Amino acid sequence: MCPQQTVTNGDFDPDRQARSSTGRNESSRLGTLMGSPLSDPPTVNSQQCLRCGSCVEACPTGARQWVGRTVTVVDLMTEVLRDRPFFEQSGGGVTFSGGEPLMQHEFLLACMQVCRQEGLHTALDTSGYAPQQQVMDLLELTDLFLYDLKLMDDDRHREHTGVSVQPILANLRALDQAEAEIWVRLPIIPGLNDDEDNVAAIGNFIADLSNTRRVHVLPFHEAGTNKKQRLGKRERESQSGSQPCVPLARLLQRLRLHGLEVHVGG
Amino acid sequence: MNARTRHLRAESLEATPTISTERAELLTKFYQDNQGKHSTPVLRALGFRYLCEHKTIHIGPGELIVGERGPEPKATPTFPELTCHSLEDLRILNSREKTSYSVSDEVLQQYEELIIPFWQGRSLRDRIFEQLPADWRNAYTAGIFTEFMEQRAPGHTVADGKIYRKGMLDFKTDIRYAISDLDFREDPFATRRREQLRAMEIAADAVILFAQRHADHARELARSQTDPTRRAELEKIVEVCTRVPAHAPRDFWEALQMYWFCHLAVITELNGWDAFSPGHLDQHLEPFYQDGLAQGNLTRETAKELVECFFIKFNNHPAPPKVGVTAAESGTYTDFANISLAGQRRNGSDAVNEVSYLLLEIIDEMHLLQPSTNVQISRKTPERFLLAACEVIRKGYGFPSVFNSDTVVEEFLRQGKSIEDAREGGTSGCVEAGAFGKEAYILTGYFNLPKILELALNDGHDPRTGKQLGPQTGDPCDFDTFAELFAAWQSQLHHFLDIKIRGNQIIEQLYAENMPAPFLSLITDDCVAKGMDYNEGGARYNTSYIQGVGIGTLTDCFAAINKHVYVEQTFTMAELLNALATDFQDAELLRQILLNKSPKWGNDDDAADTLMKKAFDTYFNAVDGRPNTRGGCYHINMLPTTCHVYFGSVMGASPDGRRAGTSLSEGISPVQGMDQLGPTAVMLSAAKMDHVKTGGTLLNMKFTPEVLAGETSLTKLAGLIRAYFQLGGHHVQFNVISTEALRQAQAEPDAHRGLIVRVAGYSDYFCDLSVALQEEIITRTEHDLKG
Repeated sequence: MCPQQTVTNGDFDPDRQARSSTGRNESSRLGTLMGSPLSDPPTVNSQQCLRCGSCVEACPTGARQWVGRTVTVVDLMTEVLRDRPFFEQSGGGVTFSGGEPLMQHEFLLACMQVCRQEGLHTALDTSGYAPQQQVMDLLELTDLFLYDLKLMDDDRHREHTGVSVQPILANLRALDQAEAEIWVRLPIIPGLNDDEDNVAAIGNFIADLSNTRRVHVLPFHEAGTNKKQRLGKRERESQSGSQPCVPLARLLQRLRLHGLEVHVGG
Repeated sequence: MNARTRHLRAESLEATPTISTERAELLTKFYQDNQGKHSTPVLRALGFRYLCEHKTIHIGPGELIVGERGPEPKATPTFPELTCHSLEDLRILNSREKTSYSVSDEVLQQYEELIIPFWQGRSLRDRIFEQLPADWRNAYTAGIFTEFMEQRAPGHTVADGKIYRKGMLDFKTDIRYAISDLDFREDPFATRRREQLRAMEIAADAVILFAQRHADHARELARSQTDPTRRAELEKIVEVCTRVPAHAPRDFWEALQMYWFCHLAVITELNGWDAFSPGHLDQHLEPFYQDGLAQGNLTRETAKELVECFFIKFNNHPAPPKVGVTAAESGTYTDFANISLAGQRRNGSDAVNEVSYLLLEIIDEMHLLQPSTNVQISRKTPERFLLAACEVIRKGYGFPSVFNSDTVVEEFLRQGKSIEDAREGGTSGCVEAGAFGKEAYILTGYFNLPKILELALNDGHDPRTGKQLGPQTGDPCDFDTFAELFAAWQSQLHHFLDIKIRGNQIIEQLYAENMPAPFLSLITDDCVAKGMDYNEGGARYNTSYIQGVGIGTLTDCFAAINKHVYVEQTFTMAELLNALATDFQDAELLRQILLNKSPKWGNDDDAADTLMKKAFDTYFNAVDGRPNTRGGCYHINMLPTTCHVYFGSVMGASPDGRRAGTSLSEGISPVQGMDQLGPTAVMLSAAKMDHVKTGGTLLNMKFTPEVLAGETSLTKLAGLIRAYFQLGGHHVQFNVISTEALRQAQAEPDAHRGLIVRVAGYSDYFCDLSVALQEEIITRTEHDLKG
């Protein structure tokens, strides 16, 4: 089946560029597909996968789908702007998220510039782990930063994310100094980062900032397990999903004691 | 609700619909004695008066607003002069699983001995079918279009504010002036006009009489009433029923009762489709409300109680029973009486007032099946009101539905109505726009747009009935381009529209000649001034509509054929037709391609949406502006009621991947489950239709409760509505219920009797719906966060 067999141009996704078809036959193309009857389906060899997309195009039920695609700034912003009538009514706009959007910072910058030109409200959902200049470049273009904080202790942060927390904190301070609009987000992984010490440290840190007061506590969810399975990764033996150290209500209260405006979710 | 209204509401919910032969018996007797002695209009009016004189007067314990259509709540009369049910029909009504009406042995006996012998061959339905040509009857039987006027009178109108300013005695004065103005020398129709006007005068007297009988009955009840509170109420009822409808109402209570007597009169005289509706009730009640508060004889609580009693009256009236095709096109108890909130005043200013909020509160608390309720949102409607409406919407009863008052006004102006009449108008039935109090906007049946394609794909031959129904537009395997196929569809469309309209003209004239509606005429402008009946063109505006059903399915069919047969040549037309003919047996691969690898309406994809526009424009051009026989013309609207299920059942498999016999898309909504890019994409697609060129479009959306929970969600819902309306959309309505809940209700109907969902332009009890319709509602896409 892959990667050599030519298949039809039938794509369901309206945004994809139409691929050029290679040689149309006089007789119906269905014959080619019908050559692989449903009783003896073609197999996909993931070891040899070249990401050509032939299997996606061939799959009639749409069971195989692309995740991720290459787009230009124009592509993306054209799609975004389709919903302009709705943004204008709701006062909403565009949130750039990920993954980590700052890993594509040039593209991000270009898109946000278009947003500005078009008068759209912009929000950036980021871990804050990026060179400070890249972050500050976006200051004027970003109406709202949704900034993650997970673990304040550097060792613990390295253990669970692989990187230091220092740049993240430095960037947050810098944005705060520059009077950016920031909502800090605290994703709770019960048993991992919801202990008294970490919560207190986070509370203290934000309280020390000049302009930032708002924290969104994000309760744990399992939405990521599906992604793991699809990537073929096994469930890691970890503390995630185990018993919370502190009940949510107390955690919220702790944060409020620092004088912070605390929300759940959102 | 208080104890009284809770009790009355429970009573209403528990009452079971039954067939009452009282009206049929009385009318038969009247006709036996009087037919041939009077002109048709006068005969009808005298018959109406006879009913008013003799029908049972019912005043239930605790009621404040009084008057029933039948001898008791949910006792539903029949109209043998229009349709004479056979014994078999009655047995079906009694035994069918959904929307049944209990038929007693006495009823069967009356029918057998009295009613059928007189009315068989004499009912208007018999005469209609006799006069309709064979090609009409073949198309009707094959399911290409429907025609409810074979069982229900035209109807289709709504009250305006006249009845709150004038009493029947004032109307009679107008009538007498009109009669005295008749010019018997110059006007060849003067005699005819005189008869119509006389009939209207008789009808006015009949209603006064009917109300007086209520006063008399209330007086009797008061005399024997020991509870002083109730006695006082009954004495007030005596007063109210003596005052209205003879005179204009003076207070809030009288205003409600005035409307109610008019409503009863309209639905006693005939069984007009969509009963009758109060229209902009909040505007009409407002002055009475303010005066009552100011004078201290009304409080918000007593006003609320009265309106709740008023609402319950509507709920006591299941639609007059339908059989056959007409039952399938609207399988529901709902009789479509509609109450509109908000909108605009005659002078263009915003109409939201305290009564609007009061009504919202009542709608929320009572959540009854009837009356239907809607809100008319204009650019001037305050956000606070829209948010309050959204609060009710997200509770999931399926109402109120939401209309774009500004687009509705534009629709009227395009149709040539005056700006004042436009603003005073609104929507009723499901989504149809009309100039309240001044327009007869008659829906003439539904039209099966996708089946027309099925015929085009079969050279005019109907696979289901095996008949050559349409013209031979060519073997589609010979078409080289999509344009040729589209042209074939167009030819078939024109052919059947011609048949439909020719049939309509016949039906219209039969009603005009034989079934005038004198009471409805006297309260509809300009019937009195013109001396013409409602059914013959007396109204100021006389419009006929043909509802296009299945535009979503049709669009997807065209898009799939265009892409796979002509552009990409994935398969040949012959392969496609083969697959359709066998309902995709051994062609599952092809079916999956049709379902998943084709452009779909509702995703803001021009590959589909431009084809929608093409089909819509063709339909519009073929219908809009064609004259009817009442001095007006035809327009289109896009709503299905429940006809999308019936129309699907008479069609084989279709090129969008749909299996034979299954439901079509409803309203202008995408095919169930085919919108995959969220509600904004659905609305962006829907907005590409030129709503202003219609008399109404229907868009259904479904959300799970989670999506609309929380404070910010209300604002988002309101924003979604405003955005769609800014893009020109006519209407949107929301189902807020999870699929699991619906499946549960399917499995255990007795535990979910109260579950109300939005069907088409009305809500209904989920458990009362046919399984096919239940499935269709479940499949309608849920815009879910998990999507």
